[in-house]
Formats: sequence, C-alpha cells, structure tokens
Amino acid sequence: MKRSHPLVTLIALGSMVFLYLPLISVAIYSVNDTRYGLVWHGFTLNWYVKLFHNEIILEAARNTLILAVSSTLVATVLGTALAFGMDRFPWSRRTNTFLDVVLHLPVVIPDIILAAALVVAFGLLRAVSSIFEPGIFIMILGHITFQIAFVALVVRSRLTSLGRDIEEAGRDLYASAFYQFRRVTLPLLMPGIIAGGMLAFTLSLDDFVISFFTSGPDSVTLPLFIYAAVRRGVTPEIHALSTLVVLATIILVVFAERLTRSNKA
Amino acid sequence: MTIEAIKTGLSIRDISKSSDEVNASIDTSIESQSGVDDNMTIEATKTGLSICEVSKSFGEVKALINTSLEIKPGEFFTLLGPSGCGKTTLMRIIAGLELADTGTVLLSGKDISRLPANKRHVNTVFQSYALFPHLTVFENVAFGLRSRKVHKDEINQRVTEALTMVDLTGMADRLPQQMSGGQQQRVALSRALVNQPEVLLLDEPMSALDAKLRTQVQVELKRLHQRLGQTFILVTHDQDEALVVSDRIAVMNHGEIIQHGTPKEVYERPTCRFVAEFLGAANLISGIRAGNGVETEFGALQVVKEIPWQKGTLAIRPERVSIHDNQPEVNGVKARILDVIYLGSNVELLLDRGFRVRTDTHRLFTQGEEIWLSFPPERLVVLND
Ligand SMILES: Nc1ncnc2c1ncn2[C@@H]1O[C@H](COP(=O)(O)OP(=O)(O)OP(=O)(O)O)[C@@H](O)[C@H]1O
Ligand SMILES: [Mg+2]
Repeated sequence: MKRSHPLVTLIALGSMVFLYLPLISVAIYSVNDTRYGLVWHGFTLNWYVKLFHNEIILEAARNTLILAVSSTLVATVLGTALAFGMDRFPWSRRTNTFLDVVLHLPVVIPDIILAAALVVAFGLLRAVSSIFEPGIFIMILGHITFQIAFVALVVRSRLTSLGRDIEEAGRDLYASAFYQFRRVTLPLLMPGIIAGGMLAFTLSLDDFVISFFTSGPDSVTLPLFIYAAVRRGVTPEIHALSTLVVLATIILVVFAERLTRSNKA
Repeated sequence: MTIEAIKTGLSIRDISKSSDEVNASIDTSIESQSGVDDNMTIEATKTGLSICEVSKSFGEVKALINTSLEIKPGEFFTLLGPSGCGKTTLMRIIAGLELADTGTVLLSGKDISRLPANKRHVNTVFQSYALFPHLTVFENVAFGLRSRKVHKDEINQRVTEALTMVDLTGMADRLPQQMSGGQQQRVALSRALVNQPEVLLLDEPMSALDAKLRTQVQVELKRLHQRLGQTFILVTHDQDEALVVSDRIAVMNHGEIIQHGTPKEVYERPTCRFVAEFLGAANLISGIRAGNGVETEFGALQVVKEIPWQKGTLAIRPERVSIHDNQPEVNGVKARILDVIYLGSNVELLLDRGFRVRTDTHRLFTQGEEIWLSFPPERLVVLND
C-alpha cells in the first residue's frame, strides 16, 4: 500500500477527533460523579441507575422501541418487495431510470420537508378517520415512508449482485416459483434484508424530525424526550441516556455493515 | 418414401444450408419436410428435439433468425460458432429461460414452446455453473428431485449414484466454494444429469477449465454420453472440442445456422468460406469457372463437384494436399517452402502463395526448397460463396 503524507494522516486524525469529541465528552460526563460543573469528581454509574428508575424515560424508551420495531418490520417487507419489483421486472430502460430517481428521492430529501408533507397528508386523512390523529400510529406510518427507500436500496444492490444465473438454475431444476423463492432466493437475500432492516431500525431509533411533527401527547420517544429535557437544562441522566442510544446505534450499524460485507465475499 | 427412412434420417428443414454430402435418407426427409404429408413430419419428429423456424430479437439485435434444427434422441449435438452468434440464446429457448419471438420447439413431438422452464424435461449445465452457494454438494444435486417431491430414499440413492458417476463421492457435504473449478463443473453436471432429462444442455461447460483438464473432461463427457444414451447439446466456440465430442455439429454465425452435419462432413465438406475457415485452417483458392474445372492463378484445377458459380472459391484442408518431387498428373502447383513447423508426428509447411500443407511423410524439408503440390480433385471442395 502507498504511504500517505504525514499531513494527510494528521488531518484524518483531526477530523476523527472533531467527529467523536462531542460523543466522547457526553460519555465521560455520564459517569462523572457530580450534577453540576465540568470538573471530574470521580467515576459513578449512578446516573445510569437513576435513568432506569425514571418512569417517564422508561415510557419513552418503550415508545421508541415499539415505533422502531413495528415500522422496521413493515418497511422491511415492503422495501424488499419494492426491490424485487424494481430489479426483476423487465422495465424499459427509461422507466428504470425514473424508478431509480424515485427510489433515491426519499433518501436525499431533507427530513423536515418529508415531515411537513406528512403533516399535510395526515391532516387531510384526519377528515376521513380519527385514527390519523397525532400519535404512535401515524408516527409508525411516517417512519415507514422514509425507511422503505433505504431497505429497498440495500436489498436491491444485493439482488443485483446475486445475478440471474442461480435463480434460472432453480427454475431449470423444476422449482415452482414459491419453492424457488423459499429455497434459493430468500436464503441468499437474507443478509441483505437483515442489513436493510437494521439500517431502517437505527434510522427510526434516532429519528427526531418526523417524530416531532407526528407525535401526540402519549407517544414521546427518547429523542423527543431528550430534546425537551435539554431545553430545561442538561443533566447527567441525559448524558447517560444519550450514551446508551449512541451505543445501541453503533452496535447496529457495525452489525449491518458486517452483514453487507460478508455478502459480497 | 418409407417411414423408416424418415425415422433414421436427420431431417433438415432448410435445404439451402444442408451439407452436400447428404445420404439418401436425408434427401427423403427433406422431401417430407417440404410439406406433402404433414403426418409424416410429425412421425419424423416423434422423438428427439425439433426447433422450427425460431427467431429471437433483443431490441435491435437479431440473436436468432429463422433457425430450424432436428436433433435425434441420444445424439451428441454441438452448436459451434463465434462469440455473439446466438448459441446461448438458442440454448435458453430450448431450456425455457427465454421465449422465442416466433417459431416452435418440439420435444418428443410435443410443443413445449410456451412451457415455463420448470415444466420442461430439459436440464442445463450453465457456463457459470450457477451452483447454489448456500447448499451443500448433496443438496445441490438433490435440488431438482426435491422440487418434484421425489421420495427421500430415492433421492438419497439417485444423488449418491450421480455423485459417483462424476467421481465426487465423499464430497457430498462440502459447499461449492470449497471446491476447485473442475469439481464444481462436475457438480453442475451431476446436478443436471440426476434428473435424467430428455435433453441435457451444456453451455460452454469447459470454458473455465485449463487446456489439459478440458481435453480430459471432453473425453469423460463423451464416455458419459455413450453410457447414458441421453441427448446432449453442447455449446462451444472451440472447433477442436466440437470435432472431438460430437455426433453432429451445427455451425452458427450471426444468428443463423450456416451448415450442419457430422464432424467429418462439416470439416471435410464445408459449404462456405466461413465454415471452411472457422473449422481450422483451410487453403482457399479463388477462380473462375471454366467448363468442368476452375481457372485459377495456379492454372486450371479439376474438381469433381458441380460448380454453382461463375466466380468463386475452392477449399482444401492442409492435410489433404499431397506432396510430390515431380510434377503430378492432375492439379499440380509448384511452391517454395517458407517455413517448416514440426508438430511431432507430422510436419506443417508454410509455402509461398499462402499455402499451408500438413504431411506425415518422413522426407526432410528445407527452407527455400521448391516442391510440387497436388490438390486431389475429390478433395477440392467447391464453396457456395
Ligand atoms: N438479454 C439480452 N439483452 C440484449 N441482448 C442480448 C441479450 N442476450 C443476448 N443478447 C445479444 O444477442 C446476441 C447473441 O447472444 P448469445 O448470448 O446467444 O451469443 P453466444 O453465441 O452465446 O456468444 P458467446 O460465445 O459469447 O457466449 C448477442 O449479440 C448479444 O449481445
Ligand atoms: Mg454464450
């Protein structure tokens, strides 16, 4: 491998520090044995213990999980179906380009725009049914809308790299469409589906903007709780909570990354 | 005409492309094909595979143009042609992985053109092998049987047999990526053969193997075919491979079958320049018709066959040219030796005027020496173009 210039290494290290310093300091304060001030007073897990005795936080954690799990399940199924439709149907080249753009749009569009659009849409739907009142249900719907594109992108790239040969071999060997899907396509696609699902899960876990615009009084999630709490003043409990959320996200991302990588091998 | 003649005959639907060294039975079936008696045609195609006027385009690209072919049961048939000539497309149409735009495919007299791949009793060995990477060798081979819900005991027995047949006993529990290319190829072969298909399709199965292994596999394949008696259709762009293994060869170019016949027919009696050149080196001599012979730059040459043109080409294989010290009686041409290549058992001479001659005489040749060549009239092939 080519040796890079020391300056390049330095800049790289600098940006790593820049990226991770805030996260690391939050983690450090979450185990600092003092409620106020920036001075180190010794190690404690007290704030974590307090965290797990706070009913409101636990409620928020539960909401977050319910939201993330249910939206991820639905988005994974729909996203996988979408990936299949896009990759396996013989679309004309122009339609294909169009679909590609449509698929990437939700990924690049700012959350706030999507959130505003959802507010309008749900406002209209509320005229039809009260089920669209702000609350966990429309939060789930909102999360699904942006998760689908991410899942579909990951699954589609897996499908493309899989190629047609193996599926054709299955058909050539008398497999019915269903048997073929269950025995060949799905097992080979599984790592991609799981990776897509995990990505969707972390996105939901961390989402603030969409949740903020669609939540009701009983559906506060952790990001929403942290936002509200921070406005009242940052406490070590918040540090502890943030650290846990970051850790969970990191674990999921690393896991998803592993899966996608082992796929390609 | 007798039904017997038709049954044994290789019926050729496209008369213009048939080899000129056809036997009587071929002629009979040509008559039957040209349509007096339809029942007879059906009789003729009751067994084996027939492809009738199949065309296929991909957008602008015409991959197959009005292709017709009859393949007898138990035959080792080879599709030979340069890259992109439509060999794979034809295979995929037979397998049902691609639908023909027009034309029909008959298997044992039944029209299978519209049947999906999983309903056709045809199996393929893919060029990439396309083994299931997540299944063991055993499960790969068992796949076709499991799809059809064959009984467990029978699966065990048949898979074990199929693995023995290709010398893979003891590897049943491996995954495909734990095997060499040659072994993977044999897994692919037994995965197809275990189903006892009416037709086995092999799409360039040897292309990923090194030269030595390839020759070995060719021999094994030929032996396997003789033992099983199933119909094999092989795709290749390697003319030596085609000549070694096949009962019959169809030479393709630009989506059309140019000529078909036994390896000997196609090699010795090419009908056109393309076939003559594609199947190994050929000496091509152009000339003008003069009575029953051809007037060329080397003088008048006698030929045996009818000459269908005023101006055209003759061909002769390097090993069919004979060498003389003195002027021969017919078709003699004097040439100077430019280069001598020793090929072990025989010698190849590169001569001026573009000639190439192969001989196994024990005579010593030296560069610059002048010799007499003779083109035996019965060996001079009159090409159509
Ligand atoms: N799915 C497809 N879409 C568009 N064009 C295709 C497709 N499949 C084949 N073709 C075209 O059809 C023609 C015939 O292709 P085919 O694969 O049958 O050639 P081949 O004889 O098998 O060549 P090779 O020896 O390189 O495998 C080629 O020009 C190819 O580009
Ligand atoms: Mg091909």
